[in-house]
Amino acid sequence: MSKESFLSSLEKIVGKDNILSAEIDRVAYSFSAYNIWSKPDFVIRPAYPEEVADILVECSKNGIPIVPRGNGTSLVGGPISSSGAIMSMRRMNSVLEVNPDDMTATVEAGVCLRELLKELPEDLFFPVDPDGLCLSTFGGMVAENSASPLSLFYGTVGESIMGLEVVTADGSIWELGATIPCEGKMEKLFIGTEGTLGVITKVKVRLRRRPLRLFGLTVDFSHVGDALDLYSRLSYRGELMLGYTIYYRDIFEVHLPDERLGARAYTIIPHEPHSLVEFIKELSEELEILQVDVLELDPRILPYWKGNTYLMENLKTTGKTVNFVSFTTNSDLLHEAVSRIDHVGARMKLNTVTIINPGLNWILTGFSYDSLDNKSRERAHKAVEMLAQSLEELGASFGYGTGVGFNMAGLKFKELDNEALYKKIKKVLDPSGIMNPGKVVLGD
Amino acid sequence: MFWVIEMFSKELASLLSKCISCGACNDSCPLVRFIDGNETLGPRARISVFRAIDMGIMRISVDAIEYLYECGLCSLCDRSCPLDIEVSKLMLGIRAELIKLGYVPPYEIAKMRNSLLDIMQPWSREHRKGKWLPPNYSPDKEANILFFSGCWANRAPEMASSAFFIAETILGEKVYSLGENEPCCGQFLRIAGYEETYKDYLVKLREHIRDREIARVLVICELCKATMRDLGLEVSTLLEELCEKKLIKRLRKRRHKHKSRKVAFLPTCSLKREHASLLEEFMKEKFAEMPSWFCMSCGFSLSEISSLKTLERMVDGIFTALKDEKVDLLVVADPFSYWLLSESRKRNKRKVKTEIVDLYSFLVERIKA
Repeated sequence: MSKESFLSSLEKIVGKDNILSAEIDRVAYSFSAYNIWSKPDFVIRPAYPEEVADILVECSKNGIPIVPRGNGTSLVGGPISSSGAIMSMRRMNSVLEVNPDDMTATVEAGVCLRELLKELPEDLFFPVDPDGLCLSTFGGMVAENSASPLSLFYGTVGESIMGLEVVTADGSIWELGATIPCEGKMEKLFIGTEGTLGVITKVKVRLRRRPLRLFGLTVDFSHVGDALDLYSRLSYRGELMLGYTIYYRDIFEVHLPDERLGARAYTIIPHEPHSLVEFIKELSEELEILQVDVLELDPRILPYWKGNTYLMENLKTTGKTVNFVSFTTNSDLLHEAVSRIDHVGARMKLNTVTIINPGLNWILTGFSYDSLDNKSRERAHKAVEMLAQSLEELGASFGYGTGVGFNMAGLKFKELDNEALYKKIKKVLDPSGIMNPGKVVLGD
Repeated sequence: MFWVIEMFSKELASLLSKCISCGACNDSCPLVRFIDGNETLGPRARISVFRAIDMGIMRISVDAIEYLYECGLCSLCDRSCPLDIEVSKLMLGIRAELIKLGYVPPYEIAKMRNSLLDIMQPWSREHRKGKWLPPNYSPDKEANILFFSGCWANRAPEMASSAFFIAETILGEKVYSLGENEPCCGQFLRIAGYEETYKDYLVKLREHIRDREIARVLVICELCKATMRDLGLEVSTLLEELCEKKLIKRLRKRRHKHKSRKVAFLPTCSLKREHASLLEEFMKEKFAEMPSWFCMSCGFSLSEISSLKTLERMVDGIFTALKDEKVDLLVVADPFSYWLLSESRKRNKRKVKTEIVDLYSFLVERIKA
């Protein structure tokens, strides 16, 4: 089938206005956050699951790869396609139901977090906010099984999913999950598989009660190792923390508040902080703590996590963009992983930004580069590859909280037997291999 | 791999490269929000497209230039950027640099420039000014406050006459109008990117309006306000004047009979929050809470000239939002927005149930009631 007749068959499904194939549209949909880009052949914008089903059938028949896209906020290029189609889910943007008694909400996949929050009663919220701006869509967050600092307490997005509606490549529409507000079973297959097994069209989520009081604690250290150590001690003490994140000194490098600063830890606690502050101060000499600050936060104002501003300040000052890698490793190897990031950054002459979530064994790191400078862009890509090789020795697993995306799709790793089983399932659900090819399985 | 062709100046290119494509700007863009969340219409895509052009990924084309002029420069996106990029200034910068490089804006806009230089009006002579004034109007010789109605209000005469009435009656000032001799303020030139032409035009305009000592200028359009400021004149919008002098409270005594109708207010973008709330307080009607992107800035007046189709889709989106909120009456502060919305409503009377009234006629209705 020629491209023209294929597009006209899609036009019959969604209407002419919702097939975008002009050069400008293709470039417009080629970017996601942090300037990861690759130009699709065309963009299609369905409004109903039935339209999604018909599109997938057409694409399967013609072997056209298709990549679902929400708001394009992925740190690692989740919604990027180097060929075929982008399926924009933003027309599916209705909050279908909010049930305050069961503390659940059902939304279409293209609804972003900000849009849901507006519809919720004041005492309820949804805690995972991967981009720190409440802009990620639910379809995207589920597909990537997104995480954010508050995942320490509330888990990843996947842990708040009660049900999904998904469309598979053969055009079948599946309602998965449980009819009562508890977790189902088969929906899990589509959580974190980055839209490679089916397109998520509807999401039922568990909401959380807003805390009555919130305090943010900032603790500055001379050494990142001490910031990691403090987390272990607080955890051992049974301290209730909604999140605990360490901002490594590289993130402040352009604007270092204190020359001695090695790392800044930021934690949010839902109770009076007095005894915790005393406890931390007692450790001051042992852990080389430079400063402790406490700020009461307004629980009514979202997002709670203000640490994102450090990264934004860095980008504002440098005018650079970042090539991110997200990985998890054993907790005792986090310090070593940071040293390796430093090493690669120094070798490639690139600034790095590193955010560590010790409770989740999760590090999000990135290499800064000038988006208009070819050489620095290439160095940043090379740095990602070098770091990945180096981290493989530490037994790192890639894509936690962000998905593998476009950024890490080229890396080659062994993922136990997950890969082999995943490939078998993929063959059944997507025999033509059109669904978001290249994502999830590293090196696929 | 691509070739960097460095089309734009270093300053502009570095501003373009600063954007991390997070998409926060799209969330506040009225075009994206009113037209189905289409990414192409948003600031992120516009930055991406012109960065792609600067990087040599994409070629500059007539389509790309038309696309650049589709943005209404409402600047709502500036407020939501986490990196404080002033996207509207960036768009304006691209327009200006392309003109310097010899590219011509969309035909209708280029034609408008010639008309401004020729007759000091953006449109043909047929669009006569001052139609809203009484037939035998002659300005009070002692009046020294210039009422500058602006081009769009002349296309919506009821708005201009109501505003003039308020200026005379409520403000009690000696105001005068230039009537049919009122020239265009020339802001079209600036927002189209004709930086140098705009500067020259200001000189011409200064000569044209200074037939007497102007103590102050009263305007109803934000574009006119910007020009008067550039001319170094003291200027305020009529609404600002009413709110700041607390004169709007004088109107409160005369309440309106329709208490049960639901009203929405479409403000101008520089309208201060306190002005809006004072107005709402005064109106004493049931107000619909409209989203932050419920905006149609005067910058869209260029889009009306060059990208009418997109603008019509946006207007449809506005009408749908009003319908969803069950709004009976929409009060519009900006003359261009009022003109466009009321004209569209006239064409779609069956579909659009919400009545549309300009802010000043709405206030006059109160005074006369």
